[in-house]
Amino acid sequence: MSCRKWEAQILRWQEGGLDQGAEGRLQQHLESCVRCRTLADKFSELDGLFSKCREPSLPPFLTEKIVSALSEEIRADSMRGIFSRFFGFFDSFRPAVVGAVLVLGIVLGAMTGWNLAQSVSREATVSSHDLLSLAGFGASETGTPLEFIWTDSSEGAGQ
Amino acid sequence: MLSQSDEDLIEALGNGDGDALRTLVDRHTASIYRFSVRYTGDESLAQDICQEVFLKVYRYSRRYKRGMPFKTWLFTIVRNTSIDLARPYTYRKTYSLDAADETDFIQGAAQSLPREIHTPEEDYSFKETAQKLESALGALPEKQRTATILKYYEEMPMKEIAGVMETTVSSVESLLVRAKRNLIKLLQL
Repeated sequence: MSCRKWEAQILRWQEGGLDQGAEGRLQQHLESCVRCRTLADKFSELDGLFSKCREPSLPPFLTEKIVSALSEEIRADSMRGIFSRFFGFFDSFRPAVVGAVLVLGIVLGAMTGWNLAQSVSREATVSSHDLLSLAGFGASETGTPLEFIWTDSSEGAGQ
Repeated sequence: MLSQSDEDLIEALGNGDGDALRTLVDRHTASIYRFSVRYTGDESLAQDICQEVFLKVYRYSRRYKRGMPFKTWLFTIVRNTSIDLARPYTYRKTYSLDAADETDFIQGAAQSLPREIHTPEEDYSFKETAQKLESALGALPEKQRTATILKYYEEMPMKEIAGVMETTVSSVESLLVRAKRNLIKLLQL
């Protein structure tokens, strides 16, 4: 085993995580290898330094600040409605919902447009009919614009 | 409320119990703050991280799966938030490391660290070296730094650290060995 591989063993040993057999083998290696023995000493020294490090003191009112910020968030959430928070799983279906809304919009738009075109066409028929009647052309009551054209070219010419 | 486990509290929070959140804040702010200060080296940024972490805990509370250790879940959020918020600020970005240039970086950082406590004229003290150790932590690559803080300051078991870092126990051991070797170089022990 190269010295690199012993390093993890040293770490485990210092954690107390080596079984007796592995510990014995490591001890044997440490007796014969100055490099690893030095490294083990330095690791221990470092562990001592870690334990001496001071704890960073908590700034005053930090928890209050956090709670206050969270209260605002919770309030904003309740303003947005319970839906957004407790039915958040709908977020996963958002693209599908957007797609469905678009399709529905297009269908409704097409239907409205078609209805509108129909009513405009009907109005145009009536007004052409009235105009032709006023002009003295005999048009049938139920005539369509196409019929008027025929009437105009055949009967109208004879008069 | 105070006697309830973290798992019960996070579940209560998922059901809209605001008091549960208050208890979690009281219980965990200190450890999150400690981690963040050591991770970023910036007290003001660490406060922002604490706040952001609890906002995420609130937002993601319904995603928490019972059976997962709460501390692992929490520190995964803490680590990810620290990475996100610390990214634009720290000098560590300037020295963003690949494995290849890590050795060069550590040698460079060792030269840039204050050396006064090593001069024989100075009153060398163990405490000062400990303070220097905290500065040296900031010079470590992100993964090594995280593993070191969780292991030696938060005293987390290897398995939990592996959970937080989404890696294996042997990878964590390897990170810790490299971190220690780097710190020995940085501190010139």
